[in-house]
Amino acid sequence: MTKLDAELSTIKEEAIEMWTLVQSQLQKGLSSLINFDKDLAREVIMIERRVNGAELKIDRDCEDIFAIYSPVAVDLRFLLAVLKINTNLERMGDIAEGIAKMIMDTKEPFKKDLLKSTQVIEMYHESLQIVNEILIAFEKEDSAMARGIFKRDEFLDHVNRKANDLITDYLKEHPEDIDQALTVLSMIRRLERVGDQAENIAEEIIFYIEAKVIKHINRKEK
Amino acid sequence: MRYKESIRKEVIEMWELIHSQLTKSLSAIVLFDKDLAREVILIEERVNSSELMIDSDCENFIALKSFSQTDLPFIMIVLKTNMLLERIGDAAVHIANEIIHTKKPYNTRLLESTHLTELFRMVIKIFDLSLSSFENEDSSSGEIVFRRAEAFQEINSTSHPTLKNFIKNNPDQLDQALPIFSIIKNLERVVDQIKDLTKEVINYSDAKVA
Repeated sequence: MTKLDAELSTIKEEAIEMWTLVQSQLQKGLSSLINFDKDLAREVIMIERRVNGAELKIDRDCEDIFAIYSPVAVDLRFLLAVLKINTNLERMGDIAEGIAKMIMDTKEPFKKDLLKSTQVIEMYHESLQIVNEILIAFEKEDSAMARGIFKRDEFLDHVNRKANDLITDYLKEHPEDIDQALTVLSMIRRLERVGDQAENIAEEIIFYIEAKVIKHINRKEK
Repeated sequence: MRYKESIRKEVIEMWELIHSQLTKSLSAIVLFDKDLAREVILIEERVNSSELMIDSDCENFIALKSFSQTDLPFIMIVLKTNMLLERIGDAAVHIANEIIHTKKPYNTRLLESTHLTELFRMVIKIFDLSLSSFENEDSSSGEIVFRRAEAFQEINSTSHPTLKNFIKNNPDQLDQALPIFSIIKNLERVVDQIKDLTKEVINYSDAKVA
């Protein structure tokens, strides 16, 4: 293993750690929504600081590798992919934080009917699942798995598209729940973005793996 | 040097493209012009291909033998800016989608009382300021961005209670109020992204001076 290879595998580990942090934010956010647990929501907000630190470290480490090793071809492609994935992960962390803040600002536990009719919990579950899968695709460098995300994202889009109508129906029956309903609508809009970020990450993984495959084909031909 | 200059030009063009996306979304609200909203969604493809082009030009630039370490901060800011701009473009598309799915023209009274168009104009202004801070590499216009962003938050904080009251008094007009709520949320996010963008530009310009 060359020195550069060692550096690249450290970067990969750092990215996976960052991922785990964001996953734990999302996971805790979901439990906090279901159990209306404000302490857990507070924890999500606290973790955000660590996520930001991890993001900066990965950025800086990539920059250092550019400067020291002047990587080319597939190594360069990998680093550029990590830089993008890093930003997308940080965005997901932001989304988890935003949702946690909404839970903190909500006075009473969310109405069960509201959560059920808007499918926000299922949506949250699904986005968490997508984040888990895309991590495995990154770890295993599995482009087929990364591609699978595009289909899964459809469910999030579907809930998101129906959200205005569902909230309207709910508010007609329960006009007193305006605050909660608007909060849930905001959550749905944000969760839909988790899907967008995951798609961006999937694209980066595929892009990088393809570069690697092409490099291998070229080698064999030589 | 020529490479760097051409990437810089591409980034500025991307900025201008997003500016036009935002402006069109605003006009689509005011005129309730769904065709214009559709145009914003179509142009998104051009935004995406500009993003890819800038990325791949950065990649090629780094791979050049003549690439020097002193160009690294420039490349890093371009990569970050590129991503953030694309995201602001996404918000314009989300807004356009809200317009397309709204059945009736927006209630003028509601637009006024929630300050939606005013907020939107402020966002475009702040966005333009961030571009000039990038173009001129000066942090002073960056500082104005943060001041303007505060002014945006102040006005925005009044729009939420207004909207809630409107819903209470006009439960039959939820199909008007909810899209406006979502559009305002998108604008909030755009302001956050412009602030991130400006932070990057300021750090870059300051490092350059030091």
